[in-house]
Amino acid sequence: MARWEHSLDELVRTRGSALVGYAYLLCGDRREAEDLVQDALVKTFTRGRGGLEASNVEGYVRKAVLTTYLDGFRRRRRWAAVRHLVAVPDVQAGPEGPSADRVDVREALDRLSPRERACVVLRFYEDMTVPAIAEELAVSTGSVKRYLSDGVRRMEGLLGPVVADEPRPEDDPTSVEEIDVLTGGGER
Amino acid sequence: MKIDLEQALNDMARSVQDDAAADRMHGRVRQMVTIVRRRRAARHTAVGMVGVGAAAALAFGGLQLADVAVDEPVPPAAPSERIERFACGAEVRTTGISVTAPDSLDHEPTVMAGGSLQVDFDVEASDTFQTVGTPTYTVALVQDDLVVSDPVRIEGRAPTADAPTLSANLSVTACGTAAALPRGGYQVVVFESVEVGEQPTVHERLRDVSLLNVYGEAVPTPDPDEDAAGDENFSEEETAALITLNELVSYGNEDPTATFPQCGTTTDSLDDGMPPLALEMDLDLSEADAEGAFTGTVMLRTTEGRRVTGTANASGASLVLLRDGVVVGHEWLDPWDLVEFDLQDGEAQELPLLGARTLCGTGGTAQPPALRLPPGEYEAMAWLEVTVEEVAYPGQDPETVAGSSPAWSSPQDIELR
Repeated sequence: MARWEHSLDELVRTRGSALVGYAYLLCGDRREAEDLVQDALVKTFTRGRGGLEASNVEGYVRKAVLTTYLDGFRRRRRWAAVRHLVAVPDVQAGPEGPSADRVDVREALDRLSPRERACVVLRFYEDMTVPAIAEELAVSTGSVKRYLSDGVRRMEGLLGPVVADEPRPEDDPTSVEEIDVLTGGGER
Repeated sequence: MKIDLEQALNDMARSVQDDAAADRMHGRVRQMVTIVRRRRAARHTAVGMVGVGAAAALAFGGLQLADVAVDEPVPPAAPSERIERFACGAEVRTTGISVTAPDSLDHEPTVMAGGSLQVDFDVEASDTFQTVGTPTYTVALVQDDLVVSDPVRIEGRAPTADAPTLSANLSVTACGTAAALPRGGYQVVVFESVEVGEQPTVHERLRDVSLLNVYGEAVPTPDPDEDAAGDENFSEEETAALITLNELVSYGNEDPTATFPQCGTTTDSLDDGMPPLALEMDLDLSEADAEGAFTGTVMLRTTEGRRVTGTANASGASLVLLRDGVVVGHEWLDPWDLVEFDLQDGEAQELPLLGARTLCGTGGTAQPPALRLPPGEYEAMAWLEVTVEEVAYPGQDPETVAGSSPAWSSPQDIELR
């Protein structure tokens, strides 16, 4: 078995479910989440780069999930072209039923634009700082703040006030107060 | 009651975590990666040789591998009839499902027409197959689903633990003759015939397929010191083929951090929010000089009524040429000097626009030497490296941004003649 196969096996076995969960937060559809992760895994493992260890490759896969999600049109086009070759019958329902809170949060996420949604997920699920999100999305920190501000505000329109995380100085040492407002901290 | 967003997102992510789904995904991904890796190997083969025209055919052949497979029970047949099934000129289907022993083939990726090719294949890589007797292997060169040269059969030989690899020498000549096969992309295929079950039925399975490029003449080595004359080594058709190849290679880009407008990237990676600055391009294609260099102007403006201060590359904006949405032409302009700007809403700063009709990744210190983009439909964009210092929305105080925030123009359809 080739090295990449070992790495792929281990990654999917140990982190496959978590990756699908992350993708699900981004796209809101279970089936599409699996597709996103599949596409990201294919992208990552076809690059043929050295050092493809499960322990260090997850970061690449997560980044690929994100860019693939934001790159939705191309992904759908590419995967649609080959899906029939490898597809199996549709996925079954998950082991857990949906809770009311989860449905609400999912609906609230569905109201966001792709980049707003990505910022919210990276901030509140991936626990990333504003500069890190900006780097990940290749946009300015100002854009991230705007996406976060708009995204959280729009979610609150459906959910009511949300408890977000504490503002972090590393987000932007020059404008801590602004972050506080952006993440809902100003209401607490 | 307030919803804890972090906790809610964690719960939501956990709600779809399912090991069975991960298992399903695993099999699909493994198959896809195998297919794509094989394509890429073929493309790299093409890059390593200079038969650029053949490279496109090879890459195209690689794409076709997405549908490879044969596993067809056929009526029991006498050995001689089985041989006929893969004889020269026989039609063999290599499209369908999947190969049974991927990556088990080994041979040189290129070969001179009329020469011979040693093909090794690892029989240990075969999957479990309950057989009666020993399998027969047929190694053949295939093009367009036809066997095009005399195949080699290895009958009744089972590999041993000491010798898990079988070998065949294929003659790269047309069926039944000593005439060299034409240059181009071919498939090397290995079929396996086995008898299965108590009432033996012959199963014929496609074990593996790989790509082979047959070249027909000595390959000229590009001279990096050659200037314009170097371009003449490549016809427009060949350059067009290289673009195709370039697009394919760029798909699985080696560099995960590649960003627009690097060669092979797409506009999809651009910020779909509203960047603070935008360009309007004024490009006159008729003004291209003899070397294919374009000049024009761009107007740098702010967006959404903002006031923006910063610095831009004083060399100006560069022209980006795309085909089918993929960057195929772009030259970096060295920011040897910067020009400061302070633009209010409605104001504009004029800067030069420079570009060349050259396939990106060629020319300069790169190999091969500069290739002229062939005639055809393209999209053109202007791209300017900018460092934004402050941005102010109307009626608001300026916000310090201090970061790279490139400006670009909308794509414009153009035709290169």
